[in-house]
Amino acid sequence: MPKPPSEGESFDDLGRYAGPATLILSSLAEGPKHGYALTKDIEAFAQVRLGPGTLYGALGRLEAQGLIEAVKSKDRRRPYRLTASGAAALRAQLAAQRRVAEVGLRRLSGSWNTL
Amino acid sequence: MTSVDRRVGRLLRWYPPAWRARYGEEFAELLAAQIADEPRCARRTLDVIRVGVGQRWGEALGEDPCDPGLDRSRSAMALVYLSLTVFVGLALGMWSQLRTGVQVATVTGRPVPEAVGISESVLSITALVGLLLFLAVVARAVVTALRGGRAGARGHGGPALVLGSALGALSVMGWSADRSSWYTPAGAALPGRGPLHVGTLWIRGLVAPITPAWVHPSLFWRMPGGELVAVLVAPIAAVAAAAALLRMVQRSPRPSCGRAWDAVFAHAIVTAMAAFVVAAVRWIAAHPAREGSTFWMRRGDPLAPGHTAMAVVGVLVVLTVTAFVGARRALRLS
Repeated sequence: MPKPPSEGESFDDLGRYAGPATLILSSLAEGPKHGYALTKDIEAFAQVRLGPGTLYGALGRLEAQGLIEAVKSKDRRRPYRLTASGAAALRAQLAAQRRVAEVGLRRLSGSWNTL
Repeated sequence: MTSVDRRVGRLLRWYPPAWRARYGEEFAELLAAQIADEPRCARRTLDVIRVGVGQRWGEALGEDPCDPGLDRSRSAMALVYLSLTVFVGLALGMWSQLRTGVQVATVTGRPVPEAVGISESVLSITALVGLLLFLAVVARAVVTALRGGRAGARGHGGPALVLGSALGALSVMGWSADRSSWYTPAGAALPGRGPLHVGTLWIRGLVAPITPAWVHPSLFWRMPGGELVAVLVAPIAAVAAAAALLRMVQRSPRPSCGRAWDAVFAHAIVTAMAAFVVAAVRWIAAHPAREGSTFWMRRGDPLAPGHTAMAVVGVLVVLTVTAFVGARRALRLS
């Protein structure tokens, strides 16, 4: 049984998959999706086209860490959904990103607006 | 089976069997859908191969995504092993160059008996170690391939044939190279004949690519054409065929032997590397190049005598420090 991540540090262990993981979890926050639907949704809302290898590399990590889980399906295209741990990890990650974005935008508006 | 299915199947082979058993079916569906959207996409192919190679590497190191601490420990050991591999290659090359006569003999001069003896010893020991390591990894693959592989596995014959041909070409080259005497820095052929001689030739053929010509490329022009092709093509063909066989029979080496022992082993490796560097520097300082000697240490080169060897020592120091960093990480995580 994978150990559930504690809030704020769960993305540390995702290494090179941290970026794709944020996109995948954000997409799954809307509801379960299979691989092809995930790539299309991410391309639509983030303008990022995840390669199939990168997508499944990240899905494997996220599933092993208990942040997502596969939904039983008779279809060969297996959907995935967010777990409670995954939702908490995504919330913490997005909050951290928002803090960085706010600080950056505030500093930009203070120092560079007049140029 | 359609051409898309065949393409998907080929791409899936980059991934380890355990991964394919879990994700293979749905991954194949995604690939087929993306190929239908965009039939030719080099970026997609590279992405699939890159991640597949990463998965195989992770499997080889016993990567466990549920235990990131263990994962990092094995990555630290990978750093140590990689540093050691490059270090051994460079160190053996430098040591054989220094000890086999490049400082004490000219190409046209008479062979130096001591240099010839040391040359044979270094080459034979290197070849034997390399051969054993090679066989340890590849033998299993070849045996499986010859038996037809696992149920449903096909296509082993081609790579096995290429591997056998490449090894054969290297063996013939060893025999041929001995007759033309181009590879011995001291300018001497092997003394003696007989079964031991034939065995040594075979081994020398296998390590023929470890030649001073790589640091003195004009030597390549003096090689007979067949030997030149063999030294340039056969090793690449052998490695590629061996890699293909390993991929087909789905075997990966597992170098780790547990966190605690890994840390001890890593520090022993770093100590040995540091000791070699110290010994090499002392040897170079005590043996200045002779007038007219060749290759790395030749007087009149743009690089002053000994500077090339010292540059190699510098690289060895960097590799030792890199391995040390890996060893410290392994100790922290043990």
